[in-house]
Amino acid sequence: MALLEVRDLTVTFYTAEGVVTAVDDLSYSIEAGEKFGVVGESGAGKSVTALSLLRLIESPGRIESGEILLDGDDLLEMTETEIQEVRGNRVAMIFQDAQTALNPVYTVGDQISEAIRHHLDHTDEEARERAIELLDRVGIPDAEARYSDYPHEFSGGMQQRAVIAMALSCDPDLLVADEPTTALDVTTEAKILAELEDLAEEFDTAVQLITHDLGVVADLCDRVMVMYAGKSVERASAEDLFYDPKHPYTVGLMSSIPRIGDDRDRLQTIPGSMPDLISTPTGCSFHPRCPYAEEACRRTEPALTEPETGKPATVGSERSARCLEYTGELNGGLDYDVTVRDDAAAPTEGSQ
Amino acid sequence: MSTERGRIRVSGFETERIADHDAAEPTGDDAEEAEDDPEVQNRWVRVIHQLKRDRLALTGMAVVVVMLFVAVFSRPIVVGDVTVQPLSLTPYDPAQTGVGDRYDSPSLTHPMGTDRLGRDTFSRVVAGSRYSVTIGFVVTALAASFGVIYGGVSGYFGGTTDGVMMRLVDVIFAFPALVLAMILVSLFGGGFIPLVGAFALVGWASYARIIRGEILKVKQNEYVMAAKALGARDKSVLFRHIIPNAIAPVVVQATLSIGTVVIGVAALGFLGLGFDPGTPEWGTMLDAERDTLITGAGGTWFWWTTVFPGMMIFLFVMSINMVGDAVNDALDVQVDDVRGGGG
Amino acid sequence: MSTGPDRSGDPLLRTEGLQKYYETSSGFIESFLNRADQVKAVDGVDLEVYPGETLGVVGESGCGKTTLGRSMLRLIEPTGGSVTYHKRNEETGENETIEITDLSGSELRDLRTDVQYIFQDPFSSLNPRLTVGDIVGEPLDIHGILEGEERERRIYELLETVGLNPSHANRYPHEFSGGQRQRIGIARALAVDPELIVCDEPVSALDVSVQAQILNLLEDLQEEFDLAYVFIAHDLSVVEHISDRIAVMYLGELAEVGTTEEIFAEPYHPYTEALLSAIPEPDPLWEGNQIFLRGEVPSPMNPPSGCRFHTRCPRVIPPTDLDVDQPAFRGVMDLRLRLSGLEAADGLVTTADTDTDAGGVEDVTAMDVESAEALVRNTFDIPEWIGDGEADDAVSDAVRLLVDGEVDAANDRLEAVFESPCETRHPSSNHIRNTHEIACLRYDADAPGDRPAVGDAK
Repeated sequence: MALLEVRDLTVTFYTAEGVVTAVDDLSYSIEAGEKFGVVGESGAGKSVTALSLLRLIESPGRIESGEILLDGDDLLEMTETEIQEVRGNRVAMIFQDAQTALNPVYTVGDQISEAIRHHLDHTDEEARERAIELLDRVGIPDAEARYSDYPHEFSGGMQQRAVIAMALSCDPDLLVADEPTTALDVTTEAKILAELEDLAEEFDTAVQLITHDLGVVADLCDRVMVMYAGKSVERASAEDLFYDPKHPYTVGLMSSIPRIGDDRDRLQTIPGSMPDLISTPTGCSFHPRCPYAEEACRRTEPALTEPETGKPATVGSERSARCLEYTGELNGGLDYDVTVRDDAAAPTEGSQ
Repeated sequence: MSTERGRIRVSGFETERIADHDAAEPTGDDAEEAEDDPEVQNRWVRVIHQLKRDRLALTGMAVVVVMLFVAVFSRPIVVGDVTVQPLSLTPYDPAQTGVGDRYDSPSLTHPMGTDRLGRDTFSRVVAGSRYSVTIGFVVTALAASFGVIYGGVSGYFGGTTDGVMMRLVDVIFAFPALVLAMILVSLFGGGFIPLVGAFALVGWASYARIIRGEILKVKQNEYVMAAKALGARDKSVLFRHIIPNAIAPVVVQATLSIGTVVIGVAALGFLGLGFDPGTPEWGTMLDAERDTLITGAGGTWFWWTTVFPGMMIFLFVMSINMVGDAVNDALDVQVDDVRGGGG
Repeated sequence: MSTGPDRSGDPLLRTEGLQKYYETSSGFIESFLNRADQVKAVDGVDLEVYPGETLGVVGESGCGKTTLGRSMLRLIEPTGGSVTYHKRNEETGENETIEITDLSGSELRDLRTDVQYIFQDPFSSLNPRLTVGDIVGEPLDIHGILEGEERERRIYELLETVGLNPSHANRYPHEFSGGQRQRIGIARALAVDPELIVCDEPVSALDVSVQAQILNLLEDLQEEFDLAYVFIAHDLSVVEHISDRIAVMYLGELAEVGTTEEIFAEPYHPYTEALLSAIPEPDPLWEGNQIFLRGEVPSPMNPPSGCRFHTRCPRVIPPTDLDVDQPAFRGVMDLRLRLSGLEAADGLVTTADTDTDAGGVEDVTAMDVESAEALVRNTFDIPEWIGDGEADDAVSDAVRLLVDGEVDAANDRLEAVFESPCETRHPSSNHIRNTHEIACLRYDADAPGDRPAVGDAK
């Protein structure tokens, strides 16, 4: 059984302008110890998905329907006391802005040992020792002295490390990281990602990494889900996704990023912007921005389909894409190419 | 495995075939609505629109407007020898004694009864609006204008200028406002002008402090730097870019403080300071009838001599505060525009 | 990138020794008493921008990129150095030299029609109280360029140029998305028909697809109007994509300047090398060797002596008379840096080893010399045998002093043997090729120590 299984999750926000469907009928699963990436642009519903996992959606938002199974227990059915037991203990979260995740009036060390005391039966002294160990483990030099520093005395990268230490303090089964390195410099980002990878291995923790950066996903993740306008449009292993993307949005994202060593003068990008979630376009929500859109895309909303067989995809499907191409309803096909230069070892995929 | 970068190539994602219409359109539906929605044109129009939907604010506004109207038309206004405003809403001369018996209870001829000198309380209350209400507005206008200029200069230029100018504000804040006003009034005597002067002198400092803080915040915005990058002059940067974005809290503070000033004037009046004892100013009226608050002469309680002026103070201050709160909310609502999303 | 702009003539803009120090104290009394610390945000930058080219400026946050861009145009007042602008006279075809740093207020205002600035934050860079038309029209009003109907027409034209619908000129900024707002900012900068635009992180707040749209727009505009850009960014892949030349900044100084090809190939400045290696590659099978720099950018308030990068440099030069290899030397350098920031010896080493009774904290003063030495060497990646007798003696002596609690003495003992030329010598810019300059002692022929043979690269 998968560690986490999300089934048909729908989250809506009731705003003055109308009802925003931030997450729309989303299903995915994460295996124990797996590193699972969630990619998309702002407004895709990535962060809302993450917050739903801990039932942290606040008014005017509401989880409308669906199931979130953690080891088979439905988080949405739990009482408030039970869910509090899950938060931090079995599922921990790291946010983009480490500075606001730490309380400025307590020392960093106290905040970590507080979390330890709260969830595990440790004495003050044990908690303190464990906190120092963790700080050292996440790469904070002179951890004992830094234990009694306040968050503002830490640099951005150190704050994020401290937040990671806090998240790992209770040895969670799942770590949800929402853009953990977006606010950091590349040099720090590289170190934190490497650290995160080691720690996930060491603590045997599954990671759900939310990011807009395809480079970060490629670096860390085993499997990836691409989100667009609240829906997952493609799910695949990282290799399949990068070498053989099946959904036009994924292809568009990949062709929009400038790559080192690529000498194209212009970037082939997706025109326009993410639709307003109050009134998503009819049919396929990506069709106004899709170069392969046909009349059918305007009318029919595609279902998640296994690209190879054309069958409807399930949570367990190896890979899936939400495009009419795979149910045979597209006439013109998708004529993009993904090529990989040199290296015979890497799989090379042709056009669809 | 490879150590070479940029190995993956995506080609054929030809978006030229989609007309690039979307980039030319503001995002989504709200923008479409905006097309039919004229209120988006101006912020103050939006604020007024917001206020119109707020029943409480409307009620407050109505009361204030009626009181202003009464203040203007209570007695004829004579400038020099010319009568500018001939109407008189008061049935009797408010200063005239003996229009009725002493302490007449409310009746048809004297709707609010009469006071110890047989003056008509209704006429006095109506005429009193001219003192209390106008003083609130005049003091606020004076204090806010001076405070905004003072704080604006201090905040915009910063540095030593700011340091020196704000110390003066600190000095004013070091005294309790009402006590300072009391000292000023007792030094320079009562009457309309000295009272306005005293309250304006103690009141401007809070506006200066608010606008300065606000300007320091607004100054951080890149559009201020952008205006300088375009070659705009200091004056234009300050008045076109900074003050319009910093003025909202001042408006709120000003609205709310009209009530405070009215209370302050009434308080001084009640303490026997401010206006001459016979003036039909609400606070002064309360002071004159102070002894009736507990027991009236001969065991009767002449409640009408104090309740009506007191109620007017309460009604006005309450109304203006409701308006102020609504203005605050309305300005808050369109704290703008920070919405995510690319495009 | 293949056809670079002409760099044979005069540069459009040249900075010489440009310097911007900030006073840190904000207190009224402190500034009165002149008791302020200085932050050296930009410290002696020499840079040229040629007509029609894109010069990328990269570096970690806190390296002074934005301060450089702003003091170049005197949006903030530089505290030293000069900025020269070569204005092309349309009639005579000759160049007129303008010292930007000497201009009076009104002359500076006139210059704003030639040099413009695009801001990072598309949300705070537009005045929310003005309509888009007024925002784009503001430069026209300020400089009295156009009035009335012509002004309107020019605004429509500008909006169309940047891909916005001209009929939206009377809307307010909050009705637009981030990318569209950035387009408005670009239209505003274009209104005066400038020669040079400083773009300060113009795409870092935007989504991937929108970022690409704006990059494409900037390149189209450059072609159409023959613009020169100074493109400030922390994202190296974006900078690589758009720039003809790149300047790498570290702590207020230039580490390396060269064409994009030169920067992205050997020889590297060690800092550039580390920056490049750290970019996450969107390719799951990429296995490049990432260089992890120690710690983070030091405070510009008290920058390190000599080469400012020596505290983190993975290629810091050992003294000539010492025969040690690079990782061991870096380890000793780290130990020394740690000691210089330490108050007492017992806080030196923390381990993640849960088995020790000390509970994660090792107190070297409570250990015997041998195990202390093993622990210190292990923690700082110093091998048991460095390979030079004198060096190993120094490390052993230092540990002995540490066990006695003498932190300063231990530090002095190490410094006597391990002082790197990088700590004492400020590297000057070395021309590797005509267009390629690296400020690193490894490329300085006069500096002591081994250096890579420059000719070998390529």
